[in-house]
Amino acid sequence: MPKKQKITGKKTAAGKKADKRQSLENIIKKNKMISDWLREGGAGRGELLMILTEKLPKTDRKKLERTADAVIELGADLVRRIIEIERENKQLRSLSLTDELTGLYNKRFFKMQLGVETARSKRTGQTCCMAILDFDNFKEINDSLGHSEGDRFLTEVGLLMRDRLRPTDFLCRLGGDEFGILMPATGLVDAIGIARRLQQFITDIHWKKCITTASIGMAEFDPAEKVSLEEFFNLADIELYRAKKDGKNRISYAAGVIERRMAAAEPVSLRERELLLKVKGEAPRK
Amino acid sequence: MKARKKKKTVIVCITSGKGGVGKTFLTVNLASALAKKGKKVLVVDCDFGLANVDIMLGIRSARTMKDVVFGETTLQDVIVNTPGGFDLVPACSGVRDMAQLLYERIEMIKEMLLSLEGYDLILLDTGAGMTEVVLQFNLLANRNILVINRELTCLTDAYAMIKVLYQLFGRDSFDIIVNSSMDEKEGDRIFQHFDSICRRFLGFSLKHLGSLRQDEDVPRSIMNQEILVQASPHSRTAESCASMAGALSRWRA
Repeated sequence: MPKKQKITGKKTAAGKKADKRQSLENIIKKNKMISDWLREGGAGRGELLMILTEKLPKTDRKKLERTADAVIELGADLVRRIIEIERENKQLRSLSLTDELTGLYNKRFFKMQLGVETARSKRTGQTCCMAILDFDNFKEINDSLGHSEGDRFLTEVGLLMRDRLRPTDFLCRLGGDEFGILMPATGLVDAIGIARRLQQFITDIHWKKCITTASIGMAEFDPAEKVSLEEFFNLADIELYRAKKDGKNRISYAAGVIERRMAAAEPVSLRERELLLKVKGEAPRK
Repeated sequence: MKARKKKKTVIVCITSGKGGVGKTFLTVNLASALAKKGKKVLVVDCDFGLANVDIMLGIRSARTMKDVVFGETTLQDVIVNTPGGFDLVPACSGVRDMAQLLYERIEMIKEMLLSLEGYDLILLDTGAGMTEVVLQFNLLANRNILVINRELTCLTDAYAMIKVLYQLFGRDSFDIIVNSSMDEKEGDRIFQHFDSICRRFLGFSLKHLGSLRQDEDVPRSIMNQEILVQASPHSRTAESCASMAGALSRWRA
């Protein structure tokens, strides 16, 4: 039977060592000069000592030397980790869900949320809708007013558009002047109404005398229809293309949803038909 | 007593699935009977394939629903008065591609219908078949009336309509009128039979609004472009219509 370890609250030797390492790491991390020195290869103990003297002026020489040695010992390992962390940060930035320019959600988020909402649709049986909105003459704004003005346009109009949606809708910038709108638990008819409102709002904008319009492609996700995520997204994309081709400044969507749904409905079964027939047999004689 | 400021209009959709069951006859006579009871009634002829109401009433109108759906005309401009004492939005016959446009504008038409002031009831007379337009109007209404008779094809079509409206759109409240029954008893029996199938397979029961017995007065009145409840108010059919209208007049939106 193993000897029971007494829990005293006092630190063990290993614990003390870990603590010391932690405090050293903190010194290094908090101190840009030291981390820079390490990153540059950590050459020259004297240089490190000078930095440490500056940072810890009240410490005596002997302790400083001990710290410097410990820092050098830790250094190689730490540099590797710092570089790693920096690489991770960079990756995280690219994994971010917000659009850098507008602060709206980005395409990554849109695709992710599309997955969430279609899954919800499948569970609840309610349809959801998406729209892809593209400005018709954004290039003119960019060309005549400059790119920074174009960026300002996207940011401000983007935020104003978000205000015009319901709190449950998601507005995302998909890239360039293309925006995606996800409308959970919404039928196509309502979604068209929302899109129309946005379109009107955009038409009413006079951005430094530039008048702009938008084309919108829409799609409805019906859980009964077994459409994949990609197909759902493509449906809206195709409709956007059609809206552009048909002369811009319009909303396009696949019509006949009800008819498609009807085709998917369960027909009157043979058994039901048989029973319906029975009433005839009971008809009274004239 | 002062009239209430805001009357809520009840929108009633009258449909059947199969054609020739007597939807339009019933719509016109119910509307007229309601008008007799002092209700303000609007009939909207929603049969864009084969408009019937205006023919039945012998009305020729320059502007129809077509001008609302395709043009800038409002419903208000299209409404005509009828000899039946109710107002009418006539439909246009034989317009193709109406469904597509209608789909886009159904919300607008719905808003127009709801914003029409002063009507107690709006009766939507739909066409035959289970088309998108018919379903849209059924979904728009507060109450759905299904007209059936004893024919198997009619029962099946009506049942299919109920099934679709229930399974796809969650409607589970329907009022049934049994038309051209031999007698009162047969009307009840047809309804009960139909109702039992709905209860068994769909899980909800139907309401029996009334039955109309076979009556020679009916084809005669149609031939003469008369409204039966006006032309012969004491006939059996007219009285049945009046009693059903009584039930309708108590409906609330």
